[in-house]
Amino acid sequence: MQDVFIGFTSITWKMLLMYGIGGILIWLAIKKEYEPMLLLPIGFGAILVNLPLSVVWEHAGADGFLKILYDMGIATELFPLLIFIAVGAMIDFGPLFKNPLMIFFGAAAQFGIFATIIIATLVGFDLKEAASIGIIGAADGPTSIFVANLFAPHLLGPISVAAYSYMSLVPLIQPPVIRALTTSHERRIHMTYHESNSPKWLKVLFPILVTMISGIVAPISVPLIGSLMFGNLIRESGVLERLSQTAQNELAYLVTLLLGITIGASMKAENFLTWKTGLIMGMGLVAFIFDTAGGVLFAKLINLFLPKGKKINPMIGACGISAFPMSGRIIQKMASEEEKGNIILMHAIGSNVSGQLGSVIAGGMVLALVPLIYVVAKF
Amino acid sequence: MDRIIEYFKSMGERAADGSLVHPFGTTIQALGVTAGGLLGVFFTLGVFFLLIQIANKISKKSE
Repeated sequence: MQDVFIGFTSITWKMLLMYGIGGILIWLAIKKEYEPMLLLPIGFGAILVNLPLSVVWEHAGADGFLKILYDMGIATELFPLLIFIAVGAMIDFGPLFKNPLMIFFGAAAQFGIFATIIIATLVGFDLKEAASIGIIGAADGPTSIFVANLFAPHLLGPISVAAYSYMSLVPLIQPPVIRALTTSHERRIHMTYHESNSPKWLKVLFPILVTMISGIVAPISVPLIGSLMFGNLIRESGVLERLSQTAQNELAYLVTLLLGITIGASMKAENFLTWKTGLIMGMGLVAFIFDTAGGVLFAKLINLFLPKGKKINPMIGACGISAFPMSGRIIQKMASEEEKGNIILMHAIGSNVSGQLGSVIAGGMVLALVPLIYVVAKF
Repeated sequence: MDRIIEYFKSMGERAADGSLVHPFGTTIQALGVTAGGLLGVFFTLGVFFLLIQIANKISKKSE
């Protein structure tokens, strides 16, 4: 008789709370349209895995379908890398080639990653956990998942939720930070843009050389940067249009679907409902704020050395985060609100695609440096 | 703060067996990752910057 009611008797308050959290994520996806392709599957996955007996994860000694997906796609890092192929096929580096200076904002706006690593260690996390939390500031879901899975798989759930939630909240996070750090005069700076086509050989050679250089500087970053650049090479080759379209659409949608529900399945109540989750969510926000501040302040620094008439609109610096193309669009909207007819979109997009590169390189740096620091600390 | 200063002071101070008296603190390690990481990102993207600049110059010359 007890077996009949086992579903009712094994429910705990933590499970109920997780249904609420899953429900909120689904609500945000549907009602607010915050990253719906990810937050909806994550929310539903969180509900599934917290149902009594959790049969989707494991039952009677056999792996459930979500555990199989997790082992196959997350534990092996396969899903994030496949997503990167799709993202690479979506990126056009053309705006960056026309104004290469924008590439440095892709570096400056990674400041939040490193500032958050320091803060996380001060709060009490160990270095690997801190590095995984800091990488939320990459504003790049697959990189966050890749690093967290290697360094702190037990924190994968909250880190993924924080990364994707804050990416979707970029329109709310960035504008107040930018306004606090810039004057109205600075936000009205105009930037000229010359329409011209970049040579095809540069577009083809760029992903190959970027992969090789990154592979030499930080060999451990090759899976990340290699898959991103492979996708871009497919796009720019000009002879693989159907493959490029497949990567941008079918591959992206399919893997995103599986990635989302599998990440949701990592949110078991006993792992997710800890004080660490609250801290991770808080520090994720800090990372995004520092990213934005780092980019804007770096642009202001560069402006000190640029002649009048060549100054950069410092809002462009904020686009150096990887949230593409959302950040670029927000900055253009802010520029238009400040002064009608001020078009800085292409510069913003140039900075934004640099952020894609910068976040992956930063992820590679963290992957390389953390083990190195451990070795150094022993001597 | 005192702990951090102590770590800095103790860097290089070794016990009889050669091990550090105070191993690097986690925050000091994080500072190392931060410095190295930011330098690495700027350096790598700086190389890409040079690459694009050279390519743009070659492209302009050939035109």
